[in-house]
Amino acid sequence: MTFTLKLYISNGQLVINENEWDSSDYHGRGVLCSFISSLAERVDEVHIVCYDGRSRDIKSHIDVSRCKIYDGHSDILNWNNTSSLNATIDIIPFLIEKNNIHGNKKIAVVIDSLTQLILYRSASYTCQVIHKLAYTQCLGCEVEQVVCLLHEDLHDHMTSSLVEHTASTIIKMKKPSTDQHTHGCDVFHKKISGKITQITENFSLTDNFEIKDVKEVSTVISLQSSADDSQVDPAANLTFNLTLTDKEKKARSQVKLPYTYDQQRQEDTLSKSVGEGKIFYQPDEIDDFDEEDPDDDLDI
Amino acid sequence: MFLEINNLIDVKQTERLNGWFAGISESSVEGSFLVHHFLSHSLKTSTPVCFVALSQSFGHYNTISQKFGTNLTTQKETNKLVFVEGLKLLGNTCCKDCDKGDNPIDDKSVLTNLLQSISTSYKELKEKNGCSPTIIIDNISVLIVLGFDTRDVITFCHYLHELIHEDIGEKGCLVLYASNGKQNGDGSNENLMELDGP
Repeated sequence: MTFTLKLYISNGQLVINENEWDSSDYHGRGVLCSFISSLAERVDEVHIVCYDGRSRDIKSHIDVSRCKIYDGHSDILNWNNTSSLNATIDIIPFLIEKNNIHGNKKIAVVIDSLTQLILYRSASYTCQVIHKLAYTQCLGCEVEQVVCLLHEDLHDHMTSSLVEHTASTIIKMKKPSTDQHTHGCDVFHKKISGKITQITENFSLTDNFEIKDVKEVSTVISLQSSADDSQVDPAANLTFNLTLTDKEKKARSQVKLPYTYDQQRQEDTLSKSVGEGKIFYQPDEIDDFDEEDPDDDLDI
Repeated sequence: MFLEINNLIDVKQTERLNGWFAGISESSVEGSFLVHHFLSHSLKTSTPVCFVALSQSFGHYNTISQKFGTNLTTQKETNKLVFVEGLKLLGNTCCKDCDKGDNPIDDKSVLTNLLQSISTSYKELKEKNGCSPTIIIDNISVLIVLGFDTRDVITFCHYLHELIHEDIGEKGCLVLYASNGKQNGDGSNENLMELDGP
């Protein structure tokens, strides 16, 4: 497969492929089919759980020799009292019961789509299930990848962000930015290191669901003109003076502060008043007398 | 008018709508004329129809159809049409359950009973005519107004969708009419249309 997003090929990946209803022409089910075909080449078994009625077409599009398809849509709430899979049955025990999974196998799980699970169970239940499938060995063997489809616009923002949080890769389908391509998507990938990469790509899907002509769309960052960048000096054009000349500095140093020890001043005061207490501050030798403004560091 | 609508939805005069799931919703214009259009189109292309009326009586549809040149009574007699009086069915089930003192709307068996009778009529029509019928529901919003949970109504539509796709080969057609969600005060209808669209 020519999908350049090599990021997908690592263990325990959870990929959510999101679908916007408004852009049904650019739907994610085609991409899901290409995922299934590529997974079928890589792993021993691909287990496809179908809750959406429209997923019945998957069978006719892919090579089913390595795939096991579970029909969860024809009796989704068990209204017809059939024994088939439905939304009220937990997937993990169901998959264990239906399969003889042993430790040496490598499998992948595909769910089409999470929308029904969220509707009939809950968002938190759905997240728990896909997290268990992807990151724990709950099926008793190595799960290479879990791929799910979600119709984002059928759920509220909280639900979709909850599902996105659980996933390691999110592919959001959208309209391609050029006419040469049939599909476009935004890909968010969370690496194990914690780094998040985000790329936008355009690509085309063939009738056999092969992805070709993958082209990354580079985001154009417009450079701002240098005039906007230059900082304006706030001290310019002030009506008062912020700096001192040498002469002014010298004059300042000669000013005696009140209550500082000075022979002349002490004598003057003592001679003027009798019977009154006086305060004179005489700094010690080791005292680090600071003439600077003590509030200088405050941003007043 | 007939021709113009068909051109608009890109359907030939004699083409059957196999596999279609048409959702009719409204913005500010009343959309119920499309229900009559689909009814008349199906009967004119010799497709049997299972009509589920949840808002009007048989007489109402018959009068309008006669203007289109179709007599629904004759169609019924020749097994081309099954008219399911949905409200009467719902009423019967509800009244029966009311005696027990439970709130019947909370019980999914009301909807499963309705589904069951539609399913039976659909299969009978299919057997008698040898081709997949059209199911028309006028109008699905009535179920929400009656107090059924949107989720249950969505499930109901899901099962109808499954019904028309049941057999390999020729598929049936499903036409759902939902009246304006804004007038009904909440977005339930909108959700319904989005979740079970084409």
